[in-house]
Amino acid sequence: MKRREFIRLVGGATIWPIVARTQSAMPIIGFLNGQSSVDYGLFLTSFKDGLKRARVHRR
Amino acid sequence: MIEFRWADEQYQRLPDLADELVRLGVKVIVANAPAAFAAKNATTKIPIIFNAGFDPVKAGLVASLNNPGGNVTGVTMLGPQLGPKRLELMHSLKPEATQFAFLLNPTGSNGPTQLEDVVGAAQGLGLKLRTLKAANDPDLDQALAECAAMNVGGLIIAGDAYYNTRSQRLAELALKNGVAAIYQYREFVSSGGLLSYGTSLTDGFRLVGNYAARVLKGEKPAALPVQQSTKVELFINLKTAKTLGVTLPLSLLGRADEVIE
Repeated sequence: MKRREFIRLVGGATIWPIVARTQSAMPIIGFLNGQSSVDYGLFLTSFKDGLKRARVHRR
Repeated sequence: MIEFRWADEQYQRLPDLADELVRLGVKVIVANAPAAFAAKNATTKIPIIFNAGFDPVKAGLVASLNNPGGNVTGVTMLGPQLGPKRLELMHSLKPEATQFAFLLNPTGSNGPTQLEDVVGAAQGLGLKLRTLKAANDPDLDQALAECAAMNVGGLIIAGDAYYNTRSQRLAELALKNGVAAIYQYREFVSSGGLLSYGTSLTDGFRLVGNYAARVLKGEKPAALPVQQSTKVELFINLKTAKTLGVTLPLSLLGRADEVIE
């Protein structure tokens, strides 16, 4: 591996997590529900599963 | 990141909770049946994905199923509309019974419509229908105890957002009071309820997750047709049938998607 490529890779690796963290700190999904969180475990798992499966091809 | 707002069955809190989410600038709002109307009133810009057991066109949430048009789309689950079918199933277990009971949530989104449907079906079958109402946990205790005292052939439980979170409690109360009961989801039967007949609630929530992700990726809700979860499943708890002394016809057992022993 050439030195410049190496620097680009390492540099990218250190910058990316910071960008990702900043983005994920923003609330992007508002989950509004008439019921209570303690009873919703099963349904939330299914919801997150659907979310994940649709987003697998994300960067 | 998901920002949660729960009304804890206090539906009058939903408009304020919806406003909070709008102020936070979320990119999409996911709302269950009672919450969907509050979300729609709070914003005409932020996409809203609902899940509901009623007709979203009649309810005024979307302009049409294929072309929702505005910022709202979602998933409908075939469940509450199946009340008449659930009465028929229950009647097939107790053909000698002349009356059955129907439990509904008076604060729910579509209790009266479901009651109308089931009353109509009962009349068609020449049966008497007794009505029970419950909107909270103490009500449920009382309703199931009352049902046991009514000497009915069985209990049909209305499809309802609050009852969906009480599958286990409903099953336990039915068993404790010796009531043969039918609800719309498998979770009721796996917790000891006798029968369930409806579409899969967990599948429905997966579809909601899928739509939320697609909207976040840039698809427009106006162009996303309302998805209809229509695969109806029948579940039977054999152990509960034995406990309650209910004989299950072979024809019914043959139709079941799963018989839980």
